[in-house]
Amino acid sequence: MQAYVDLVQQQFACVTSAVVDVAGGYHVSDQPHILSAANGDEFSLRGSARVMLRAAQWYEITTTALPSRRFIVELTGYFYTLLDHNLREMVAFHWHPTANSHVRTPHLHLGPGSQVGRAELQRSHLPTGFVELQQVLRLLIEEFDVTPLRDDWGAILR
Amino acid sequence: MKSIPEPDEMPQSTNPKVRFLTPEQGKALFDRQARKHFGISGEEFIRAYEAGKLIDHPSQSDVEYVAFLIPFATF
Repeated sequence: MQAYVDLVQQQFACVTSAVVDVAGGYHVSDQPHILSAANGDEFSLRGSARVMLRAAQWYEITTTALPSRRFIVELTGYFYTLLDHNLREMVAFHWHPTANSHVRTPHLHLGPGSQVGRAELQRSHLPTGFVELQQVLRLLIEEFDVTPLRDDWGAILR
Repeated sequence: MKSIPEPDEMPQSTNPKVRFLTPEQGKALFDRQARKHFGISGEEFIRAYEAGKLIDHPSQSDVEYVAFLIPFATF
């Protein structure tokens, strides 16, 4: 299962030199494993837009009956939050299917940093499909002018 | 849930900057985030969250984020 964690680290490395922290490791468990970049803190991204990212994932490792595929890594939650340089939340892709969450499906928040004034939009959990980390990182590079730190970012974030 | 490609199908790391936390390091990370966002310890945050005392907190985004990090403290 190390390959999955390494893959995520490679994806993060397209935009940051931050270390990826992992709790729980590689064993099969009913409880989610968790990883985040930069000690769970937001981290600055290079580029003219001066944006920051806060990111964490839950994943589970389960066994299968298939002899060719004994283990599956399943992503079971994520938090990808884009902030402006004043730490105001701009846009956040969330999926946190916890007991205390009243919205357990993937959704999007538009925060004060998005400068969207309509109150309903700022307080809404806007439904989305499943959003992958590489999609968010590609968005940052392609639309927010974040400077990639690796020449092969296009292949890694495909 | 999202099924992710078989590990053997994935590329191997050429830049492994990954830190596997001990339970103590995980608790410390979580505790720091609880203090950063709410000024309380990680244990206090978990108690308040599980008791439903943060439902009306004005910064639900922070509540949801720190709650998401709870597995750092409990693995």
